[in-house]
Amino acid sequence: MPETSTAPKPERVDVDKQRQAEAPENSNRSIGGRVKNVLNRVREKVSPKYAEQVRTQARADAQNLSDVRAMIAAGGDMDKQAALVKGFQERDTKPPKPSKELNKAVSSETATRMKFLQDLEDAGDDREKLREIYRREHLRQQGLLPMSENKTETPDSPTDATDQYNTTRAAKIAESVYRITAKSLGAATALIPLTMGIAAAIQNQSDVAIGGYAAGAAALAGIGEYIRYEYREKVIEHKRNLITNKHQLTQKHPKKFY
Amino acid sequence: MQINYQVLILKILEAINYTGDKEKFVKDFVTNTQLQTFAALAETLSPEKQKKLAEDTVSVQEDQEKALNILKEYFTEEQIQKAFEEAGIGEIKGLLESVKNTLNEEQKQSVVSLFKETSPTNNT
Repeated sequence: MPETSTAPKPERVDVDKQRQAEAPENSNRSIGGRVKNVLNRVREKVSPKYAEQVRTQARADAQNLSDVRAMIAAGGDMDKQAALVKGFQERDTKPPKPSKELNKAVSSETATRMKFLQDLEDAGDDREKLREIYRREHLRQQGLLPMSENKTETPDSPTDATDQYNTTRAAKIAESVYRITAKSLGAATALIPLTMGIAAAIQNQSDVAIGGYAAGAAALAGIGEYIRYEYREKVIEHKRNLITNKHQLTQKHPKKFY
Repeated sequence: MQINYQVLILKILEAINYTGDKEKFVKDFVTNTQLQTFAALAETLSPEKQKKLAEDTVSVQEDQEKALNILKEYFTEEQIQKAFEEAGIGEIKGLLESVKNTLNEEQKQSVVSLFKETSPTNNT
């Protein structure tokens, strides 16, 4: 038979009150403020060795991305690409020396992180704002938003717009390729054979059936709207001519029409 | 009507009066399309196969034939061709979307005429 205890039941502890008593600075803080406070505490507890590992990894990632961009910028120039690869190999055998570009990439990432924390703090308890901040952060982590959200200038000439498109796409595609290849090797080294393999594959059919698709692409891009507009204008003009002709005919030969 | 991809890009540049280095632009644009093709193809593989493909390609160096043979171990020629065409459509669409607001009526007319010429439904 189990023993029945006569001791009084322990008083139920209010966890929130206890936390507030332990950390009075949290008592009047917003959700964003509390998140920042927790993050600051975590940061304090992270060992310097781990922090250094994270920084080293961030530098290596930024370096790989920078290599990929340099390779893309070299275009199809094999000599330039070979020289770049040689440079990368020489650099990788030497002890690492942080370059200005690397520092810029790392500080850009830090700035974005700081902005994220600041936004959280500014949002306070506004759930809509908090949801939007987390949504943007999630997209940024997925590579669907740029690391830095500085607005780019809208080009006003076809040449500028075209160049801007090529540069933006090169960076975006390099990141996609980097995500796939960097799992096992430096992405930049793999780029030459990758592009050459694809080039060799499509060379077998130099004339690709791209023309028809391009027409569809143009229509999708909105240039097709111009074609429809041009056609509509012609139809309207034709109808207008018909009405005018009919009007003239009724003036000349009224009996034929009534 | 079939058209060479590089020629088509060059014609688009001419239609919109691109004033920069056309040859360099076409070269970069084609490289982008090739890399986009690779990314699209590789994404159809399992992570293990992606890793193996990336490792295999390192040994190729500058041997184009060897690079092609490695790709053929993972994909058929039809798959590569189809992926390239799809990547090409995406890139051309993106390019036109980016420039359309900067084009004047004459340039728009030139682009429209270009696509009328290259359209497979055009029998002239």
